[in-house]
Amino acid sequence: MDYVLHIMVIASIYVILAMSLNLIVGFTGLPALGHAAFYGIGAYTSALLALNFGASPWIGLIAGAITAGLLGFVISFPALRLKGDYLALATLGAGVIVYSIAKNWVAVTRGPMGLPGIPGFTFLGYPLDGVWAYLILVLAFVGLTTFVIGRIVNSPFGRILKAIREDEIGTQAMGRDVNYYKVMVFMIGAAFAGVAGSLYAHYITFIDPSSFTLMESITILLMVVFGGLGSLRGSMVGAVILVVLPELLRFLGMPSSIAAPLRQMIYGLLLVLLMIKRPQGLMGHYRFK
Amino acid sequence: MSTILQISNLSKSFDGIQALNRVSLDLPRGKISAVIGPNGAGKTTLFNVLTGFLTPDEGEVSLGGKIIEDMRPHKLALLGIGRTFQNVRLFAQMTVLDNLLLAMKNPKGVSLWAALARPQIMQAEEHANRARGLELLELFRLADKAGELAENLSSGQSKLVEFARLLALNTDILLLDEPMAGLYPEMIETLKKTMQALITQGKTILFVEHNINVVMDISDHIVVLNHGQKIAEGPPQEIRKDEKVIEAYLGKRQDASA
Repeated sequence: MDYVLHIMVIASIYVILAMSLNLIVGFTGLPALGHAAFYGIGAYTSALLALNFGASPWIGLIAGAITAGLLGFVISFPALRLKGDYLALATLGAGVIVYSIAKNWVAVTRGPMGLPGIPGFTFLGYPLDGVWAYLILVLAFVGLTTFVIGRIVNSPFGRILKAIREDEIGTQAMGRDVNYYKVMVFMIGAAFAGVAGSLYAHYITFIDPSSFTLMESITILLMVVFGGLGSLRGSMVGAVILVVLPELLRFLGMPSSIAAPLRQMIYGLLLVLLMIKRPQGLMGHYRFK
Repeated sequence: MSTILQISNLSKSFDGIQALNRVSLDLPRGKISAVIGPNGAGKTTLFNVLTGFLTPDEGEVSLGGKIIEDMRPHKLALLGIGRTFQNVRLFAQMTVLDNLLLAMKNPKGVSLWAALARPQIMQAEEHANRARGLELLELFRLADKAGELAENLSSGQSKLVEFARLLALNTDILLLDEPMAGLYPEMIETLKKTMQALITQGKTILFVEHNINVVMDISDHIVVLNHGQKIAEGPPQEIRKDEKVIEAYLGKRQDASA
């Protein structure tokens, strides 16, 4: 039973990641390939604060959101100058930089040895032990993310984001400062990824750089594209399916040496099938141009 | 006759092609002015510079007597210089009404704060804007297309929606890049009437158009460009007789069309 709950916690964390990336990629049309960087910096900030200063995970979560948001602010600057593939490469580069720092700044992050013994969340003084308690916590943040991002994309603010996706020049001609919106979107998306990172760190209690690689960014992007660009429900469905599906392989009694590469192959195959049969994603309306 | 937009010595070149060569002109306030000239004369380049999508190599633009320092496109749109595009630029995967709503001022509802915490205020503003948007679409008999995605419109309808969107933007100066191209005759008449009505509301129009009958019919003032240079400027009756203009653009047998 705990195993099922565990999968649900992990899926929920990915739902937050996918929705926050969808704000950037799906709603605003900025191809970003560095989401794991925001996820990672949130996890590390929160974990380091708890381990070195005994800070409550709640403080860590807020701090993680802020540092990730600041990183989003920094990374948004290339986004003001670069478009399309070039922006994808720049954000990919940013992701690699953050990963390298986590791996090589041993004095702070302990590098590849990782940070063990991260304390868990407490609620009103009671430690949240038991997976189900964490599930409730994470689901609450899924709710918060859905509320905030949902409100944003369904507002006049969100309409401008979609307009940027459709035609930047036209958006400028309507008197809208495209740069402002791009910076905001990167900051908001990054902050929620930071929250996901903090939730992950205090749940698993151990983090190392291998959780925040380029492959991780690609997986999150895959969830977004699979579920549908510009659809929050799609991001939920995409994240859940891509987390649960590989787990099912375990029940086929496959040794992990086969199951792991098979997981990658299934991701690839799903994506190829989807692009042929339903390029807008499972629940999306918006098509890639 | 007062000047609303003063353009002085504007130059712009691309890889050795002089698209605009020291062009100066005064746009009269509350009048319809036209820019004519052969293809490649620099008409669209002039529009792109005036709306901030191109940075001029030299020269400056003054609005109401003040030199415009910040020539970023959205700033110019907010200052009151709006435009349409020669190749219509609608937000394709958005509805026609949303296209118009994007152009409308929504100072209360557009902020992130309003989106998150003050939906009532946002809704009230949206409601008023929607009503206004439908009104504008009705001008061109397109109100029934309000919920349609812009990409499903015909090219003529797109052109009209783009014009309606510019009206929604509600700028003092309207730059129209070939507004009549591809429209059916009756709609050209509607558009002419709309342009004249805008003038009575105090707007200033500058438009590029190849339909010379329309240009001669509704313009108060005509500017002729050729090879990036202004070769003539004046009221229609003068332009019609100008030897240089006949040579460069109108052609010798102008009496047949005009």
